[in-house]
Amino acid sequence: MSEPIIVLDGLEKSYGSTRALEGLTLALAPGPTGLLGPNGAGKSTLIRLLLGQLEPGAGRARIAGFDPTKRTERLALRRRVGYMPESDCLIPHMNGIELVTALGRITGLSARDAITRAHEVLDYVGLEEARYRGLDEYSTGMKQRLKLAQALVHDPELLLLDEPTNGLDPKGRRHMLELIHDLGHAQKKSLLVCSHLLPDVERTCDTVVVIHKGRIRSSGRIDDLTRGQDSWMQVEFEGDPELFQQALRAGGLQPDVDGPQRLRVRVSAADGDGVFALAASCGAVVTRLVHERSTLEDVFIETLAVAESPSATAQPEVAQETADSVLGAEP
Amino acid sequence: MTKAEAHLEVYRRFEGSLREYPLRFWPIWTTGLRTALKQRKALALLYAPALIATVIFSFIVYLALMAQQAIQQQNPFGNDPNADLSEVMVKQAALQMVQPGLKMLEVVRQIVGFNQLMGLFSFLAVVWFGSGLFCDDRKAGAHQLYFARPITRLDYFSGKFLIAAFFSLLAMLVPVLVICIVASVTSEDWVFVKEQWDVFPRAIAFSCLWTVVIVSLVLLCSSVAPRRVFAMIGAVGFLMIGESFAAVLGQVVNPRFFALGLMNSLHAVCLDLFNQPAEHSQAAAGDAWLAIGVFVALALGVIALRLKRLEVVA
Repeated sequence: MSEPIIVLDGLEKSYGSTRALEGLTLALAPGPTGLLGPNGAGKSTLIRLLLGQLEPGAGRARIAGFDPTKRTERLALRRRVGYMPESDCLIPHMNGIELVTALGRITGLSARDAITRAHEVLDYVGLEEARYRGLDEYSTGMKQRLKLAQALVHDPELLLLDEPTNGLDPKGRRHMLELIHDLGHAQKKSLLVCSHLLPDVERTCDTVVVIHKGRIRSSGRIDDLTRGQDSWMQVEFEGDPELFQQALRAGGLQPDVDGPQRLRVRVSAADGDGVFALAASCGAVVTRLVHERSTLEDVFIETLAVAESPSATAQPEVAQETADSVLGAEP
Repeated sequence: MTKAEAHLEVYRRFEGSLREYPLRFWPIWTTGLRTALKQRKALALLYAPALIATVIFSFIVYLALMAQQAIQQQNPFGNDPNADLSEVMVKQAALQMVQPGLKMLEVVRQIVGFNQLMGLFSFLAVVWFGSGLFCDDRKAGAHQLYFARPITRLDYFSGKFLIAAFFSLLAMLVPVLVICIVASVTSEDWVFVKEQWDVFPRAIAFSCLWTVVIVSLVLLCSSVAPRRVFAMIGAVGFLMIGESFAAVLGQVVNPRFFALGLMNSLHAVCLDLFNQPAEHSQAAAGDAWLAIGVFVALALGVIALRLKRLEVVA
């Protein structure tokens, strides 16, 4: 297994009496990861802590092997991280190429490399024809792409993207998601995509971390999370509906009528064969069986519902163990 | 989605390496300067009067030096042993009348007066180009981009400070150096350089001091104001109100209060630096130095706090 790109160990942050983050413990492998959470969940605070813009109240973090609380390491890690902020953040009185070049130079590119890279990344995000236009003439979609371009100019290994599709129309959003997907999969960059838009994360990331009220509520590969223990099967059949339903109930399943010859059955992933057997036992024939995968939205809503319950306090144990091993913490 | 719907260029990896600049503020300074220099109309309006003043003062210095040389060569006021008493008395009376004029035309005095005049242009230039340096960034959210880069708050401040300092020095130091060069070239046998060489370092020192004080004031206003126009009003208002307040207190309560006026103190320091006698209604040199030191320390302290907040808010 590759070395984690982000490791959090009991990370805490408070603003006065408000606890923004409560003991976050996590180890993220390289690759595209979504950071999901409703507004005010603590996503932006976490990003600021990762960039070293905030001091944690307690706990530790390591990003690409660097500790953001130490000045020299903070500067080193910012060379390896690209950040795309959520809100408008463009330097006044500049055009696109000047902005990206200037930020490339500040990051450590030579003047020649900075201008070359600026042209390359502006081409990549599709702003080749707008590069010499003043920033006040840019549309929202162009500004978002420009923000992505400036994050990419020094070719960082980790990209922190804060709500990258904010304010985009459907076409612009699709383009942005294509770019992010390309960066995470074809270019093999590590991404941390903060969003409250579940389809965006589902489309661009392999792994997801659900954060709510400053705590990690769930984390893991999206495939694993959406596969789940319980899911629904859509069953189309020929035969007596009453008998088939009785047989299913006798077999411990809960069918819902979804049409004259169609049922929805809540089953575990391994129960597909059982449905065929139960149908055969009552003389029915299954003509179509579709496994309805739960979406990330189902997982998210379920996770938040669990989080709202009073007993929900547990952190993912695997993440804790991994973080301990990476940071060398005492057991 | 087809490829035609979403235009995707190929991403190219960067094969080079990132430098670790010892002067990390350099790119911030050069970029900011390049952006500011795009304001051609403002540059023309702010620096044309300064240019005209420089030409006029240079001409005055040239004339003064030429007159002094002519007087020394012809010696019209010299004592002639064969002259009668009435002639000697006329010469002495003429000398008495001309001496204050010659004194007024001394290059050092010209430079002191010139500094006072150019200070105004310098202040206006710094207010125009420096007022937005922090608050425009904050308003546009640009600080989020800066503080995600490998720079410290000190680098950010230094880069911004130097942008404003450039425009101050362009109006203060460059014209004074031009006048000094004119004086050096005009004076016979480089007498100005040989006998008054210390005017150069004194002029540089005062220009730098002026720049530090004025830039600190403007950046202080920029760091606390929400918008550029408020920062401009704040900087101008601070000077005007402070100067009036200090003048009233100095006249009514105690002359030491003259030092509370920033311009008054700077003028007192200027006279002190050029070894010129103090003027009426003016702060004592010691008080002026102290007042300026305290002001700069306070301004930089407030800016440091505001920048810390700026980085955190980012």
